[in-house]
Amino acid sequence: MSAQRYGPDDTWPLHQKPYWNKALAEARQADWTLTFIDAPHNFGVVSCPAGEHTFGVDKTAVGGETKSKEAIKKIRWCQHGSGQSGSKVRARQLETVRQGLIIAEAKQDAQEDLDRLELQLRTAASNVEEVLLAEQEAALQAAIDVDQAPDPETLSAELDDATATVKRSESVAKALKVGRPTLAKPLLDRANEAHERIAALQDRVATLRERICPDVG
Amino acid sequence: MTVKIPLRLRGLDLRDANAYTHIAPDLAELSWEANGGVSLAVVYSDDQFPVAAAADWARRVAKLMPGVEVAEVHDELVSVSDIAARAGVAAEAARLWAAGKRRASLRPFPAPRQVVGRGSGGKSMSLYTWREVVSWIRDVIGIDPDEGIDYLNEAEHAYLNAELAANAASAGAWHPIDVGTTNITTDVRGPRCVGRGVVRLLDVEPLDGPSTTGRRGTLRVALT
Repeated sequence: MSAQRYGPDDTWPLHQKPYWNKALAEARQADWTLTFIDAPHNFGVVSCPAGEHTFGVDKTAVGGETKSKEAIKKIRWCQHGSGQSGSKVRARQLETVRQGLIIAEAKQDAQEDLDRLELQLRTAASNVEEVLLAEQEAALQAAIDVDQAPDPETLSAELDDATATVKRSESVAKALKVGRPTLAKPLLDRANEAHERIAALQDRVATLRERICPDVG
Repeated sequence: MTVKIPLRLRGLDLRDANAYTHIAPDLAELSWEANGGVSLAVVYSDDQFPVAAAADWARRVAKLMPGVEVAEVHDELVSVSDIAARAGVAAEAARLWAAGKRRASLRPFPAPRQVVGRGSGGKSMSLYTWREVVSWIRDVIGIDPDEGIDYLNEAEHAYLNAELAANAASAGAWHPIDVGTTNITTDVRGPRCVGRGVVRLLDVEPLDGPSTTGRRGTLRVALT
């Protein structure tokens, strides 16, 4: 017989009928073993730890559900299973306690995970606060810098002064152009460039003024 | 409710997992199990006549599994400790039930079916028939430790055992068939199912001639 033997610590093959899987799970939990035959009509044989109680598990035979329920009784009534030193009642009580411990341990693990997450969150919040503080400081500094910047009116007045200066230079160059044309030309070119730059700066001052006081003009 | 009829087998030890591979596929509807040295083929019947159904299964076992036969209907015996475990109560409570000191006013606890010794010291242990005990627990205690299952009553139990005994007597009877003196070529060495019967070669002797390994003998056929 080329059958595979599975102990209580192994992962048992699944039966195609859920009701048999329930019985097999209970058997495994009670330290029974499975001899997996996997023949067309025969799934296997389940034996108690002492080998004194066994039952066959068919595959799709009629009445499988009744047989699986009876198998569960057989497992519970066997005195060789887990908790064999006392009554099966005590074994079931011990099993209940064991299940309770598993749940309690899982809760404890979850609580520890929660605590760890909370610490991580607090650290992250603290980091964010530091970054925000730094940014606030930088923004404050920027605001101070902006406060120290000249207002549009001052800039406009300075541009007017610049325009006047360029115009004066331009009239001198024009007067010079008659007698000393080669000397006057670069001066006139620079005056034109200056006019263009002043015009561009005046546009920027106008834009700045609109941004500061959108309702004006 | 489903009637559970455990048939005790002879010629098969189901404590050995290998023995399950010898079970005929046509018998897969039965539930096969071992309870210590007792091997059982259990009939779960929703039939109107469960006794007839069980007798029929017993005949099929004998026919399909040469060398295996149904000895009788198994009457499961349990100790007070077993009763306590199955009913989910303390052993002391079950002991008081069995001693008639508790819950005995409605219906007396079933009498023990067997009393066995417990080694030295002169102590003994009473064994009770589970089908009687479960009936008492259901009636008197009001709990059901064997949910969904019914058992044969005393009369049905006795009737089925008589049927099984008759089956066994019939199966064991040999019916000689006259096949004349013509040589029969057969490879039968041990008992073998042929059609509805069992063939067994008896009184064999070697055939004449040094070159043959054949045997001459009497072929006996038992009809089931």
